[in-house]
Amino acid sequence: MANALLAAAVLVCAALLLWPAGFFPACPIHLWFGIECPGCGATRALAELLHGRWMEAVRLNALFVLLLPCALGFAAESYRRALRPEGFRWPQVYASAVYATLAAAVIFTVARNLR
Amino acid sequence: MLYHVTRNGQNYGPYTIDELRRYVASGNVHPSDLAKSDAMVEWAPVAQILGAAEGPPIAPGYPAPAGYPTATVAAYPDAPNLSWGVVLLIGFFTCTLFMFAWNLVLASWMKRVQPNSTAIFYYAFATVLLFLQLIFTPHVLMHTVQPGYNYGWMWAYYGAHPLRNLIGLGVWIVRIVARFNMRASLEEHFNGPEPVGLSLSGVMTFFFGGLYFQYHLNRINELKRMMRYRGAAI
Repeated sequence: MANALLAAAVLVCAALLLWPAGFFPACPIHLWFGIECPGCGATRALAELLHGRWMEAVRLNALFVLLLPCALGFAAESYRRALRPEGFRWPQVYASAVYATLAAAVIFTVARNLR
Repeated sequence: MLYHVTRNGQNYGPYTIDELRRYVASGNVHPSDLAKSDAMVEWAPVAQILGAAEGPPIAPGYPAPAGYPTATVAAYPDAPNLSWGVVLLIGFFTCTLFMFAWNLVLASWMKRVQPNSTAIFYYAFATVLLFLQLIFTPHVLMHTVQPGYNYGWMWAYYGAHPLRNLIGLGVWIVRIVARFNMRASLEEHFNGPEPVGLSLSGVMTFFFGGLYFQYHLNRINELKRMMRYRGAAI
């Protein structure tokens, strides 16, 4: 399962590198409510990062770019745990860190929709 | 019989077993809080006391013999233990698409522990409808839309097609049905095979669905872990 998810992630990155620019999955929040959610622009930002265009990625979704190293760390630790013989448990994140990030995401969402 | 409840060094009560059950249902007392009656030798989790009160009578104060800790705790696989806050965070950054995936994970676990659960079918149906809706919305798919550019029949046909909104409505209706199915299965399981006295609010289920379930599953996982440690320590 863990290896299948890793393969899927590699495939997604390869698709983002090779896919014609401007064709990405839609955001259901944007579709339903017409506002930009915290994740809007994340796929495009990832594609820009894979192409090495940092500034463009930050412009599309700054918070996503900022949190990407944490997400990668969490994913790597989850993968390591999935390979352990004693069974899988998700890594536990400090509740205060989660709440702070949620608060940052809310502020970010309000700010990007007021622009 | 009257029970005292303790949490963080503070004692509460005494309460009757019915009051205890009511307070657990209202959330004032957690199933993982410890309680003890005068007849009991040591403190036990409230869930265990409520479970014992509903099952065959067990002599109070005599813990299960070593090697036979609570059979109900070990008999079922734990629910996925990703913290609800992390689920919400990943949901935020994937434009809620992760929530759809995570609901499928929760519902498939539910199906394993409660085989009569139908929630997985509704969640899967909602996910299929969501993708249909996204496919029918090419102007959202194409983020680099240039004003004045002719996107041809796709734009003209689907841009304001009523089918898109109809499917969107369908997604929400099926999701709500899925949530209440899941709620029924969770309550059936956690008041039957694994008695922890779970009671889920209809309003919270309606608005928060999988996130609300995950919050309670995190709590129940903690409780089960604690009971396992306790069983191992006896």
